[in-house]
Amino acid sequence: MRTLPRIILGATVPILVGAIFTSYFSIYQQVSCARSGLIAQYQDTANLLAKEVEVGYYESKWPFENLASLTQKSDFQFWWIIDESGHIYLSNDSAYMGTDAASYFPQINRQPDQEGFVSAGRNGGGVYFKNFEAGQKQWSFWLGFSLASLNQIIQRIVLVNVLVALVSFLVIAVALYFIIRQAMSPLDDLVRGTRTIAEGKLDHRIDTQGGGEFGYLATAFNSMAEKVQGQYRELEAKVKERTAELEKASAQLAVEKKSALEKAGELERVNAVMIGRELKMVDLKGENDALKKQLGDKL
Amino acid sequence: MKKSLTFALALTLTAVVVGAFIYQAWPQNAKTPLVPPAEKKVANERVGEGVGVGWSVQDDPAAAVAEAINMARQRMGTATPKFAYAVFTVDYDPDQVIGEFRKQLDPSIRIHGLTSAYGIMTNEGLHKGKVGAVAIMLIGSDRLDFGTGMVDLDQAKTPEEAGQAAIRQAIKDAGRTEKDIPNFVIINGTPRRGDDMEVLDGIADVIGKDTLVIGGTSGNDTNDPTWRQFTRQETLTNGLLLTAVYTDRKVGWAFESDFKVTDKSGIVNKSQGKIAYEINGRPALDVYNEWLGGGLLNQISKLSFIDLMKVTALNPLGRVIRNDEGLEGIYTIQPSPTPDNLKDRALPLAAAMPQGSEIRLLAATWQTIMNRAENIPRQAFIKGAMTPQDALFGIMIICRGAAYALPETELPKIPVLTDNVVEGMPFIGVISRGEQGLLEGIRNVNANLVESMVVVGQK
Repeated sequence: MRTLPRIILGATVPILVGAIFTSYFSIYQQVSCARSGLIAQYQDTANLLAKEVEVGYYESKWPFENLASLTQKSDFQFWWIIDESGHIYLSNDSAYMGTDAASYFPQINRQPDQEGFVSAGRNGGGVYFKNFEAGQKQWSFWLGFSLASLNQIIQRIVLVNVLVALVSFLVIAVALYFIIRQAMSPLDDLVRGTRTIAEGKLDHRIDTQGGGEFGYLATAFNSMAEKVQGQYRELEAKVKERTAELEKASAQLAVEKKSALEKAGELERVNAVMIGRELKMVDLKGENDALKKQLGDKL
Repeated sequence: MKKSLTFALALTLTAVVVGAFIYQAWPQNAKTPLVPPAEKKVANERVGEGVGVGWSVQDDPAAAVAEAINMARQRMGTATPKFAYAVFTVDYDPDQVIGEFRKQLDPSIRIHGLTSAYGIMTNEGLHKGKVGAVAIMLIGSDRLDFGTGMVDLDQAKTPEEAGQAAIRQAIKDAGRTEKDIPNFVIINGTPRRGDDMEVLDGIADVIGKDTLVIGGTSGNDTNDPTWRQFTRQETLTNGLLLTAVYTDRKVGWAFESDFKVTDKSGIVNKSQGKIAYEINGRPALDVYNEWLGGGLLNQISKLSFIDLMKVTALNPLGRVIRNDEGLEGIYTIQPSPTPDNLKDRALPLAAAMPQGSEIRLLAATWQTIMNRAENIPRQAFIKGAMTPQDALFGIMIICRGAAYALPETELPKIPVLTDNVVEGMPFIGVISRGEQGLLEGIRNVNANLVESMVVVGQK
């Protein structure tokens, strides 16, 4: 049967395409959300540390330990404290200290009290900057991060979404198969019924419990089969009647034939007697003639 | 056949679509650094003021010394150097380096030479080459006179006599008499003996207890005596090297551990040299262990010497001393227990602790040590009533024990932070194992875990 695979294929291909598009947009949404969340976390951290740096400046105590704790984050790239001249005053990596910060990120706004995020690198990493004043000098705190942890989140999101999409697709495909097969089973019954009736089993009937179009079709089929069977029965009865009549006529004919045969035998016997007599008469005549001859001669 | 082919094609197409989707959505490697390697730092270099600092990390001692001297000569301008503060790390062959210094420096230049542990600091950072580092500060500025004196502590009858002899030599070498008290004295000695306070007493006998004697003890990361003290004429391992500095310029200094004083205190009832046996009538190690919360004894047998030093560096003892008027001062002494002390319960120390000493437990974090990099030069400028722009040069001493407590990444920041504060004033920083300096109004002391700096002004 070719109809079922065609229907299933026709139904699952759009579902697959739909699943891919749905997953894509779902992933896009989830990644955007995760990315915004991570950037917001870094923004909070940067603001907090910028405040600590500002307070630390007045107390002559840089918050080294809290700054160092930043480096433990998997997606941490750097932290810089930029002085008024634009040089990196303090950094997690001493190699950058004293170098010109703008040479690395010229796009970062150094205007007083500005803050913001500058995207850099791949996968949404970048630098969150916070400008502040301390000791009548302009300072800036920069926190660079790669969003490496977003990678792990993205990988999880992609895997989960693809798995969910594939499982959903498989479940839908299997469900569709059974639903369509269930829906198509009256048609199978019809086909089988047609074949059975074609084989001459006119008493075969189809289950009409399903209802719907297939139920109506099954009822119609059964009705048709009923009529065909009725007509067949009538035809068969007539054949039987004719056969009986023929058999009766044949019997009578046999009787008549027997009688005729008997009469013919009688006639044959009579004929034989007659022929015998005739032959006897011939013989007698011969004998008579012989006698006459003999007598003639003698005479 | 046709049916199978169609099925295979459909399957392949589906796999390609799903694969392409995953590939497209899969994130790329984000470990790529956001910033390229650091550019070369623009040093706050001052040239032509009669003082120059040069350094080198070349493997060959002769080339390293030559590079350092040339750099210093270029930076000091046209002045003729008359004093050299020559430093090298203990990793080189000491005799070779010292020989090169003597050979390459004009015979008229006095040499105050010493070794530094781990590396050497200058305005341009922490220098530590594959083999080692060499640095030199050449001073040729007028209004500054120097005289060096050195004695072998092993040859002296007493440490006091050694101190007296060395300072007298230094004064004489400067062309002065004992009546001329130097503005300050640069000291360098051996870390081995533990009689530094007596040596300082001897120096005080000659120049008084209120004259600043500032410097550090030579040292390394092992107990092998690879350290040296050297002058133009002599090289020693257990020497006491002093330079008396005379000037009419402003002098500022700072000598601080900046540690917090806790409420835990006691009296050292029994001690000898650098070992405390009893505190508050009980075994010294047990008392110190209790002060630290009770976990130290377990750590002594488990941790390496260096890791143990990291713990004790942030929890040293403070010895309280007073002058005749009752003015109180505290200086830090670092405990350095070993597994052997689990038996005798004694508490070895990195500096001498006289019997009867009043002690307090001190506490700090490595953040405290880092912040000293800026605060010490600031204090020195304040003490000398000068701004960084008024300053001519500085000599800095940093304790190796304190450096142990820093994360690996932090130590190189110290000279950069210092340079930020001194704004290019030439300085040279030595990493020592024991520091000497003045508790103002009381006396000069030999302490541990201290950072110090002496600065000389232009005016």
